[in-house]
Amino acid sequence: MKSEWLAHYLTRQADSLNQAYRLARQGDPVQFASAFGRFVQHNLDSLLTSLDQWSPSNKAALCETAYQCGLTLTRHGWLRAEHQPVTDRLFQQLLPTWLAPYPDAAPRLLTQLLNALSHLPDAGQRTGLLDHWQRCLPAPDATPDALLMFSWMAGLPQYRDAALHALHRHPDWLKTLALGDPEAFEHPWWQGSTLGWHSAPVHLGASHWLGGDFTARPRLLIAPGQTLVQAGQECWHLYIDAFGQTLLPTASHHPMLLPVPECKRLPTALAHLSQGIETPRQCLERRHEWIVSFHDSYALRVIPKTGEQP
Amino acid sequence: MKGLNPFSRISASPTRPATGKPKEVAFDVTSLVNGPFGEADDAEESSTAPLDEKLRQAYFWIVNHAVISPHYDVEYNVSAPQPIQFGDSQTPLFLPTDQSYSSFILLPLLTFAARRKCLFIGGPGRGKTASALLMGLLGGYSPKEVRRAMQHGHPQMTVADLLGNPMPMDLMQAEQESDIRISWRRWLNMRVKIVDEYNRIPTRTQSALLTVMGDNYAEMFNQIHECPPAAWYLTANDDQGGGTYPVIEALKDRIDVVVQALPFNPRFLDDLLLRIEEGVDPADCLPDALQFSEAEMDQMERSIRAVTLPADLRQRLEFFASQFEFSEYSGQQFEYKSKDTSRLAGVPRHQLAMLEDGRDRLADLGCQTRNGLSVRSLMSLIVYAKAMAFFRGNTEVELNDLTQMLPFVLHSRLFADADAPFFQQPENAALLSDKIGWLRHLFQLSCAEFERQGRHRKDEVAELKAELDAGLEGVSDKQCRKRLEQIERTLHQLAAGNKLSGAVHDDAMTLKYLHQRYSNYQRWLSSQG
Repeated sequence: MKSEWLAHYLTRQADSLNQAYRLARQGDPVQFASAFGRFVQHNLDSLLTSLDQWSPSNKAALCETAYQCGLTLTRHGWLRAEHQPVTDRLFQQLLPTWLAPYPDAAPRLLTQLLNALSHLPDAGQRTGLLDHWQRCLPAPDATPDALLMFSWMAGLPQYRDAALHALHRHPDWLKTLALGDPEAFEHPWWQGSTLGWHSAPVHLGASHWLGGDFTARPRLLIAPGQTLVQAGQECWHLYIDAFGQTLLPTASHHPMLLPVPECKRLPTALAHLSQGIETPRQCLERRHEWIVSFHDSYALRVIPKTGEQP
Repeated sequence: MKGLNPFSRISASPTRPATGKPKEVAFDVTSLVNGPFGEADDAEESSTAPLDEKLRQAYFWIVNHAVISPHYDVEYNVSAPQPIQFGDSQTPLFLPTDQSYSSFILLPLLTFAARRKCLFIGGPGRGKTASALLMGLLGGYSPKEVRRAMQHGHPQMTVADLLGNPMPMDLMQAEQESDIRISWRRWLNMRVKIVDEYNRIPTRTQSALLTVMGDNYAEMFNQIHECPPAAWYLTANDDQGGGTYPVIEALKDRIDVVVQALPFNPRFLDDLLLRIEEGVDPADCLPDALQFSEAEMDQMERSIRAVTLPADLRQRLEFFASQFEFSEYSGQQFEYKSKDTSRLAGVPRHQLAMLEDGRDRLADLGCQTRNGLSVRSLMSLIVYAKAMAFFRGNTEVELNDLTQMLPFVLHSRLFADADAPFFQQPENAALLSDKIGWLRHLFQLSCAEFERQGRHRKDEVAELKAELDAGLEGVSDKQCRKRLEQIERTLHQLAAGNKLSGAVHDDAMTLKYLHQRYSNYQRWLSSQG
C-alpha cells in the first residue's frame, strides 16, 4: 500500500470498515473478497496517494465515501474484468485530477459522478462519458450540467432537452469537445461537427421474443408530442436520437392516445424494407425519422432522415 | 461510520407496484445524480414514503436481511394458482400469483402498525424473541433499550418486578398511601412492549399484567401510572398450558393474534453459517429510515382505522360469526340457546349432541367448535383485516384480507370440537392439529354457504335493519305498522323454511330486536295522540 495515511486509517477504523464489508459481502464470500481487495489496493490507495496533501478530515470523508462506493461497485459487478479498465481509469486517473482542487466537495462529487455512471449499463457508454469528463473537468457548480450533457451524449436521450439547455450555458465545453454550433443539435441525428450525421437505422428489441425488450409484438401509439410503444400489458415512452435510445415505462393513459394505423403501402423512402424478411406493420413518419413496427417481429426499426444541413 | 452500513438505505423501488398499471416514471433530471451510490445531497435522507410503503419496506427488510424465513403462508392470488400435489395424501402446494407474505413477520408488523397484541408461539430457538426485538427497533428504540426493557417471565416474578418499586424512604415516612412514590419500571412507558415467556409468570403477577395490557395503566399502592398506547409482543413455548403457570383466560383473551414460529429450513443453513462466521446481528443493522416516530405510529393507526370494510364483506363476517355460538338444546328460551349457557351450567357437549336430530352435524359449521366468538375477537379480526388492507396499499378491505387474517386472530379463541363428525372424516383429521388451516377452511366453507343461500344477492334482514338504522324520525304510524308486518312475515318465513341454525337464530333475534324498536316507537307515537 502506497498511501501511509490510508494504511493508518484502515487500521484505526478496522471495526467499522470490517463490519460494513461483512454486511456487504453476504452471499458471495469468494468473488467479493478478491474484487474488493483489489479495489482497496489499486483504486482506493491510488486515489488517496495522489490526494495526500489534503487535510486528514477531508481524506477521511472521501475515504469513507469511496470505501462505501467500492462495496456498491463490487455488488453491482463493476469490479469484474470487463468493467475493471473503466473503474481503474476513474479512480487512478480521472478522480485524482478532477477532485484535487475541491477537497470539501469531493465526497458529493464522487457520489454524483458514480450515480450518473450507474445509469449507463454498458462499459463503452461509461468510457464515453469519462472521455468527455476528462477533457472538461467541470467545477463543482458546473458538475450537474456536465453530468446531464455527457450522460445524454453517452446514450441517455431522455435527458436531451435538459442537456441542450445546459449546452448553451457552457460554450467553453463546446470548444473543448469540438462540437460546433450548439443550434445544430436541435436535429436529433446530428452528433457534432466531428462525427457528423448518424444515418444508420437503429434497432430496438429483438427479432424474436426471447431476450428482447418486448414480450409481445410492439405497437406504436401516438399522442400529441409523444410516441409510445406498447407490447402486451406494458407501454413505454420512446426516446431516441443519434446518441442512444431509451424506453421509459408509462401508464399510457393519455386522453388523446391513438394507435398508429397499419400501413397498407410503404412510403417510397422505405420501399427497400419490402425486400426484407420482416413485413412492416406500422410506419410512423416523424419530423426527423421513420419508426417501423413489423407483423412478424418483436423489434422496432428507426430510420433517421438525414442529409439535411444542420 | 453510519454511512458504511450497506443496509442503511432502502430501495427506492415501490415494494408493491400496482398490478397491470406500470408506474409512470416521473422524469426528473435530478434523478441522474441519484442512484445506488446514495443521495448526492449532504442532507439526511428524509423519509417521504407513505406510511404503508414504509411498513412494506420494513417487512421486506426483515424478510431479506433479518429473519431467515422462506415460509410464505399468507397467500394472495390474482388468478387461480395451480396446485402441485405431493405425497400419498396428495397435499397441494400452491404457487401464489400475487405478492404473498410470511405470517411470522407480517402479523407482528401489523400488530406494530395497529398497536395491538401479538403472541408468538413455538419451540425454543425459533426466533420468537428476535422478531419481537425487531419490532421494538422499528419503534425507534436501540437494541440495548429493547433488550433491557424486555420482561422475562419466570416463576418468581413479582408484581414489583413487573411494575416497579415503592421508594424505600417513602415507605418509612409516608403517613398515607398516596405519599408513597413509586419508581415505575421504564418499560411501561415504551411504545413497544415485550413479555418473554409470559406463561412462566405467576398467576398474581399475570393479573397485574392484565391490567396494563387491557386497560393501559399500572397500579401500586393506590398510585396510578398511565401507559402510552403500545404494540405488545408476548412469547410462549407452548399455547396449551405447558408453561410453569396456567395463563388466566382473561389475559389470553386480550391477545389479538397468535402467530406460530415455523420450523427452520435447513436449506438456508448457509445464511446462518455466514452470520455466525461474520458475527452479524440483524438487530444492529436496521436502517434509521425504517424507524417509526410516535407521530407516525399515531398516523398509521388512524389510517388503519380509516380503511373501510365494505358492506358485503361485513355480511359475510356476520354470517360466519353467527354459526358458532348457537346450541339448540342448551336453553329453553330462544335467547339462551348458546354454547355458553351449557358451558356455564357444566353440561357435557356430547349429551347435547345426542339430542340433536334435525340438523346435519357434518355440514353445520357450528358443530365443529366448542365455543362461539367473543366480541373482542371480532373487533380484533376487523382491525387486522383493515391493517392488512392498509399494508397492501388499499383503502378498502378485500375478502382475502379477511380470509388470511381470520385464522391468526381466532387461533386461541375458537376451539375445535374433536368429537365433531367433521373431524372423523379421514381427509379432515389433520385439521385438528393445523388450527390455521382449519380456521381458514372454516371461513371458506362459511363463504360458500353464504353464497349458496344467495345472501350476497338478497338479505331481507339486513335490508330491514338498514331501514331502522336510517332513523325513526318522521316515520308515520302507518309506515311503522307496515314495517312491523313485514318483520313478522319475515320471521314466519324464516321459521317455516329453515332448520334452526346459528344464522337463522341470529336473524330471528335481530328481527325480534327490530320488532321491539318499532313497537316501542309505535306506542310512543300513539301516546303523542
